[in-house]
Amino acid sequence: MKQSQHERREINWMIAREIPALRRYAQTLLRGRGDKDDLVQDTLERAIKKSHTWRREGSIRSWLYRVQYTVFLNRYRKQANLKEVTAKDMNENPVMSVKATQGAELECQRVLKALENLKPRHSEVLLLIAVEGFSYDQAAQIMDVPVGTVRSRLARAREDLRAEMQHTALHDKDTQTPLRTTSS
Amino acid sequence: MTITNDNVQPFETIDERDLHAYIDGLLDAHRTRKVEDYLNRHPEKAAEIQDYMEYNRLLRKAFDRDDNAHVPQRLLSVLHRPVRNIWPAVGKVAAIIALCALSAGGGWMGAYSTNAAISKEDGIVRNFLHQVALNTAPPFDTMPVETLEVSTETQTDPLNWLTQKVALEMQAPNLAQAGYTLEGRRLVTRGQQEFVELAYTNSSGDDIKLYMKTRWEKDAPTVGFAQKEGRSIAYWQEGPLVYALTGSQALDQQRAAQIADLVRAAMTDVPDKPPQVQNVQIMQPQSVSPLQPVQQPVQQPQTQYGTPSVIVPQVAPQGTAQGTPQMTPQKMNAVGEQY
Repeated sequence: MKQSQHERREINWMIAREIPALRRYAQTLLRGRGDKDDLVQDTLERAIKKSHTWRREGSIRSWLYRVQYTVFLNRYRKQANLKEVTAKDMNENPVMSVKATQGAELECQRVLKALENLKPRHSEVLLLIAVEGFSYDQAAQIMDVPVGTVRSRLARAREDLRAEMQHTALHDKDTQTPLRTTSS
Repeated sequence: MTITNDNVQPFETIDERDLHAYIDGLLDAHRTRKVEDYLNRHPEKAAEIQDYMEYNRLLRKAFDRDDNAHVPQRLLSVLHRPVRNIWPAVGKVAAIIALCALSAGGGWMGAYSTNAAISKEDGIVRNFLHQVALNTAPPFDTMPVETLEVSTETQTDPLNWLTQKVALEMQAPNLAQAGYTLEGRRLVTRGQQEFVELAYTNSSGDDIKLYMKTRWEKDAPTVGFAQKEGRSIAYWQEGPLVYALTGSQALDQQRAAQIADLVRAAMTDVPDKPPQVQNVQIMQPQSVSPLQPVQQPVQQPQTQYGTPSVIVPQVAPQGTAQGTPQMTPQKMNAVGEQY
């Protein structure tokens, strides 16, 4: 159905509110391997073209994340997996928060490094739930998989992540940071 | 894996789903208490769950960047682009000719095949050749070379511009403004032709039918060809697009036709092998003037009362001598039957 100008303006306004979240989600998907704003721009262009397909049910954020995840799978994931993260990438697309203290930063770096060794589909579901705060149903819609698949991938992601973290803790003699610290 | 609590009723069993939901804060208060009671009794499991919760916290911290809130202008400008007054692109480009027949009462309407329509299409081909193909192949004619202006948005992918200009969304037209409501749709086959049939009715019980088919004919369109002053040009129109292929003198008509077939195969959903190389109409080299048509338009007979008709230009079968224009109009009625 054709959209009226009013409807289009309303949808554009809702989409604009979600751009910061889309940028963060692009970061979690790319993890330093590419320009997050390229992915977000492609997402916005596709979302505007396909805005008539949004059924006005639930939040627009889930729908936009689904669009972005689809764009990522179709155009960026292969590139993200093949490209090694270089120091230049990290400088241009730093993942770490600039506010982190040194101790907290080291912990975050450890968990990000451990995340690299997970299967992409496991880490992607973990990030959707842990970072983006989606429910399992919403994550299932975004990734276009059954809820049971989300649960099993999430469980597997956490088990593997813990194994990686314990492995690096055993071999990391220079940074014997306790796993759980109080935030400064 | 199901974890069974000692001395706990079966319906209060805590399993992995509860534990993960607890980590992610998705349980209600009652269930949360049950899980915490369970974890108090199973310290090893509690340590595992605590690690998972810590990973959640670290991941949120790692990706929590204030500068995500500062949205670059390039992203906002995507939302502020002017709305194009066309339907959005869907997949491959397709073109539709619509035949509209009023089946009840007197009178009829023909939505296609007027002298004006044919002349206008031919003019589009002519203007296209002048503006682009001919002007980028100096010294094909005396007009100055012009550069197409491409906007910043499409500079990286000019095909996006073309796609948005020509693509149509396949959906039933809304005729409510004319008082008609869509009643049904189906695929109609007549001989080799397939049509989409949409049936509408109004409050008076009058009904109309809209037939749609693609313009991707099985036979290749006529490809015009000319050579002049060391340059070759082959051109044809199909669907919503006009094509012009230019090259040096080495691009002969046969090679041009082969390349045209490759282009057609790439642009259409042709499941079979590409059609055979068609006889190409050789044009006599002539100076191109904006006032003269490059090719004579197909003469459109007057439509008859009662049944609209269309002309389907057909290229003669293979074996015909080259250089002979072969235009054998065949009349077809609204449902694709020849008469």
